[in-house]
Amino acid sequence: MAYNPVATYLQEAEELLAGIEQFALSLGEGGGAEEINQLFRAFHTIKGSGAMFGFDGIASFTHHVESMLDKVRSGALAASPRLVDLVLKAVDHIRELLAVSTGDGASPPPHESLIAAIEDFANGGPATGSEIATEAAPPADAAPAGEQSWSIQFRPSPTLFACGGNPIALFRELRKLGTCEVTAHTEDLPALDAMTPDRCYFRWTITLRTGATENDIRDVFIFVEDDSKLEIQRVSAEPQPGAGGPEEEGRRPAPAAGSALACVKSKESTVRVPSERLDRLVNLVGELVMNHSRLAQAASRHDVPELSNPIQELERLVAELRDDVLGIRMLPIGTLFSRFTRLVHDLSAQLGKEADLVTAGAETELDKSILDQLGEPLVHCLRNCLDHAVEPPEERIAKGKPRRATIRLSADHVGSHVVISVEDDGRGIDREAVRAKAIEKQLIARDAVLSDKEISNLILLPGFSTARAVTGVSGRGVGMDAIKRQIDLLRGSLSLASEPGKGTRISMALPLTLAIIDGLLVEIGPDRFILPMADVTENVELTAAERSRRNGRNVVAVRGELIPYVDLRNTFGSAGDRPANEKIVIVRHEGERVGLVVDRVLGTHQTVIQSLGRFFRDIHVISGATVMGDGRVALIMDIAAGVRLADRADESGAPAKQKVRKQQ
Amino acid sequence: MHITKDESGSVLKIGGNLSIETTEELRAALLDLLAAASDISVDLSGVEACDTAALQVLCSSGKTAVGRGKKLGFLGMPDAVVQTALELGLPAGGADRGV
Repeated sequence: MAYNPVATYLQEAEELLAGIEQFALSLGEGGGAEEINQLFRAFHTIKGSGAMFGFDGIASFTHHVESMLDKVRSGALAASPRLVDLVLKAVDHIRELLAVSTGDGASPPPHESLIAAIEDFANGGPATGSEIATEAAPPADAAPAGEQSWSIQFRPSPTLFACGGNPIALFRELRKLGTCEVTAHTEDLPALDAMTPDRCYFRWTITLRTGATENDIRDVFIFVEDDSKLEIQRVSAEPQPGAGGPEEEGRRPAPAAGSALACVKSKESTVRVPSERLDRLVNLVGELVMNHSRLAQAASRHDVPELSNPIQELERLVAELRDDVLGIRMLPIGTLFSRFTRLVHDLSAQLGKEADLVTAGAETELDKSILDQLGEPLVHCLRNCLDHAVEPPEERIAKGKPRRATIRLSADHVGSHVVISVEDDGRGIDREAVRAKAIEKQLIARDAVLSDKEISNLILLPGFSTARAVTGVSGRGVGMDAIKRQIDLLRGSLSLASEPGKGTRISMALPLTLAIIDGLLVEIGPDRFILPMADVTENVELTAAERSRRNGRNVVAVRGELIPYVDLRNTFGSAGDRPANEKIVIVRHEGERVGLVVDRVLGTHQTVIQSLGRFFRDIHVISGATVMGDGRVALIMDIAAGVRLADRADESGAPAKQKVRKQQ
Repeated sequence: MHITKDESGSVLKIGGNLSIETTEELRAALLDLLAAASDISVDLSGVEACDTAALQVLCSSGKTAVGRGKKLGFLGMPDAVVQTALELGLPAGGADRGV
């Protein structure tokens, strides 16, 4: 599902038109200035975006409607049932035009008579005796008599420049309205090393003397108003007999036309829904899952056959509902990727490097909440890549590499995870430099023997940076460790692979969803644990005889293959005695099969993941908890962390229990 | 935009079109300059156009110099920069004072 601006325009136009209908009708029922303003904005947006996407017919037609509404808004014309009628006709006409442009309609409908009617109305007599008063602005003919002074406070959104806003052009527009005095305020401007040069730090106070109305002034800011703070106040108002409303009107918050209209009606094929509603839906499904397991547990205690069938059916339905609800929250990762091409372009220019970004798997879908938090770590990753890994063009040529570096950003489904990797063909991780730096920072002992992989992984430690100089881009030592922390928060894992001189590959494996997973419920002593089902491959039995046969080495033969196993009873220091026959749950860990020894396997369990909270964030073996049907809590095990922990405990010979606290 | 530094390292000559696309480059060059010497100047005489974002960077460099106790002067202020400053309601020539 690639991002298609034209499709978005069509959808947005449909929503705006639906909103216009609503406003036009409420105008007919005695609405006033507010409705006229909303109508004007909606038509204005349809016109503007229409022109942008090549719907010239729509843009030029809408222009007539807009001019008519502008006159109504300024008070030159009064709103009347005839206006409502014309607006509704215009809406129908725009719908037809849209249908033609999407290929659904035949030929463009004739609109000369409609335009004529609109112009007729626009030029039609003065505002008298209308049943709908427009208190939007002082009557137009009152203004020229005396010019008014307006004080305008304009604090643009920091992203003004990025959105194409240009204050100079805005002020030129203002100067056209009258005498204008612009004063910039620069106190928010930070020092050079702290500023982001494409943000807008200035704000302005403008004093304008003009015969124009407040609406005219607002129109100047119409495209930047939504994100910016704009306050328009009349300073020295000439006496305005009969104009009661304008002052209040002046401080009226800018109407959120988009959101108001979006709620009105939706196009048949797609619905835009605020994401909080989806969150709520997911929470409800979570509750449903929990209640189902309580019900199932109760039924199994009473052994009532009439109940077991419906409960099984309910389980299937709940599982289906869960999958569907979680599916709604899935978004293609391409929406995120598209931002990065520009980033790489800008950064490489800034760093004097030449690099292309190649993306793959843009259609891979991830839960929205994960996607939202993924942007920052990926930006860090790409920055690191460009700053540290990619060599300057001359150096690359000297090494026999193509002048332009290639950075591959890809996403792919692997089991229940999405693996996102950033791969470059740069200089790779300089293991010697990393080692030296780690010794210097006393992260490892001087004589420590580390594998290549372990050395590479040192760069994931907090505060680690081998860059000789801190550049504007990276090197402050927040890079990799910040990425790792963010990925950990998302219950993902980060791995590094690097070949000196050839390049580095950073892979992030992320769960598809953060809310509900399928788990395998196991028991060790009095405690229950959940193992993520996606990692589980099979269960085998471990007899006491088998255990002793291997001379205390933790391996077991499964169909002729030796598989190492981790004794979770030791890892968690569980109380109670071992049963005679234990179970081994075999899981996949970094492409290998590893066994986890538990007392009993209780069965599958739909697991609603609850976070353990920040006090337990340093406990890596447990990624969360879930509430069981009987109200007890089962801990969700992070298999990768568990295996790593057991590995380390093995090497040092120390009991794993004590390591839990030390390990960070 | 093109930026050249003289041999002494204390004068930066900037020319061409200063716009939002080049602000990061401009910022980096000015930071370099500020780090290099304490009595420094920026020659803007070759500037043909300057937008708001670029002017922000110039202003900020003035502010930064004041903050660091350095002397930063802008030379050959061209009409393009003055015009932008005026239209934005900034005191022309005030950039070097950091306002």
